[in-house]
Amino acid sequence: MNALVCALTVALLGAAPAAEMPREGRMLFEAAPERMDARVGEWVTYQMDGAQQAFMRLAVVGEQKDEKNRDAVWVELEFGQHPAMKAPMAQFLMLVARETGLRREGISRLFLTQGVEKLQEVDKDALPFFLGESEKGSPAPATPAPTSAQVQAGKDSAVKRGKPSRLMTLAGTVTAEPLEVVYRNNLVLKRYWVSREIPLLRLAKIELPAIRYTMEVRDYGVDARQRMIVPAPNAKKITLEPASNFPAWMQPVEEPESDSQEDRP
Amino acid sequence: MRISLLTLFVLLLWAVPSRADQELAVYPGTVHTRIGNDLLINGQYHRMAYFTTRDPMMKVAKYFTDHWSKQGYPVVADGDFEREGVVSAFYTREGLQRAVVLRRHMGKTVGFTVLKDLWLYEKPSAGQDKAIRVEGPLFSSEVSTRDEAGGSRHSTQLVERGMDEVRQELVSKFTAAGYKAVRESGGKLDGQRTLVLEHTRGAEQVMTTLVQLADSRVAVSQTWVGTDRPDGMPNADAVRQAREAAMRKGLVKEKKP
Repeated sequence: MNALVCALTVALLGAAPAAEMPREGRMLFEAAPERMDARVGEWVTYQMDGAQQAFMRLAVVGEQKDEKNRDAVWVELEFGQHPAMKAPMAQFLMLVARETGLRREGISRLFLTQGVEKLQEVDKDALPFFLGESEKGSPAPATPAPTSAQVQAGKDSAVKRGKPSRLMTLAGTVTAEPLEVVYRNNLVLKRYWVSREIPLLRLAKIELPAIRYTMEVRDYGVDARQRMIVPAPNAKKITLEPASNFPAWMQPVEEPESDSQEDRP
Repeated sequence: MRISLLTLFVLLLWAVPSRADQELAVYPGTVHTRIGNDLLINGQYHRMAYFTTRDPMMKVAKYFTDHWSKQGYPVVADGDFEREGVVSAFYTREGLQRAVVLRRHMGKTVGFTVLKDLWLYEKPSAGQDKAIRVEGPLFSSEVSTRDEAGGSRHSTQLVERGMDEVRQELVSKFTAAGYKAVRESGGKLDGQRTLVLEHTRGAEQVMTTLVQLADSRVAVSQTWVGTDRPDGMPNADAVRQAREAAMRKGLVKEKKP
């Protein structure tokens, strides 16, 4: 498999550093609970509606200790164009430490594929390049549940916590608690609906009203089984190394900034 | 002989399914005829059948597009769907491609349904490679089959050389490989010069057809057949089985003395 394609996919899905995360990935990792308490078999499918419709499925399909002897679970993450997920366009199988939740520092093994390629494991030495280095002193997830009704999240923005209410979703009506990221006290940037009834992420819905984008739970259950076919232990792994290791003639040439860039807004 | 992109695509797709339980896509209300049993095209496993229908090509293409899309498979379509077209669905979990290649022929739509394994690749070993090839082809494709009646291999090559030069190269290679020339005939097909060379070596028969597409461009189509009988015919058991199957279907009646 083309490692570059894989790297781009992972980056697109949000495992890249926060500054580079696209919308779906940021929302997913922001919304992930700080601890992975899900039991084996729990699964959830989300429908994403915006410029294009897409679907995402998460499932816990096994558990074991990771190399640091932490309790960990095997999580399948799939993206596709159809909720049945018979033919996902991207597949990820991750060993995630329970104590960290679905975050880069908790992922000790990663298998991935895109399109019709076979699942391939990312070599341990290449994992940091795929997942991005953990940033020391990085802030907590952007949208932790505030303990009070409103907490300041920046100069002009705040997170408001609403009262639990019944929320109609594609998977049925659930009791959910809204968390709104509000700019200048009147513009809702994004709204999370957190529900204990939804497995894994405890997330019922995310809304970005300004761009009419939603990610909403579509189905969930507790009977997930491993779907991905794990390659043989001796199968070739995906390897990566930093460009700085390349010989001098292969080093990327840094182009001086042009005047036109300065004119950009 | 006309070489079109569609023909090349069919050749590339042409061949034994990867997994015995995987079935070919079917167009309702038509009879599907399997092409070969175990087909290996350029090292990849294929299963293939064809059907004909009076339905317009667009209707057939739409049926397969809807059929696969509703099940949740990503579908790709290519072609003008008046003369030719291809609809493919990708089974990303299993590493399979199901496709239908459509073409108009004598007022009917001819469809080739294909199942291709995208994960398995079998590199032919030196002993299995029966083809006598021309050096430096512009294009080359291999198809092989294996069933109870014996095995066969088919190769197609496109070379940028003159007809006589290609013929001479092939004859030299056949002789060096221990083949004996049985027959050689020439003629014209659709205004193009053709040459057919037939060679044998024990139970192996090879028929090579050369078609001059231009002054210095020749298409080489070669079929190799090998059986367990020295005369190159299917073995008696296979003949008996085929005859019994035909009788069961009422296609033939046994002659009474």
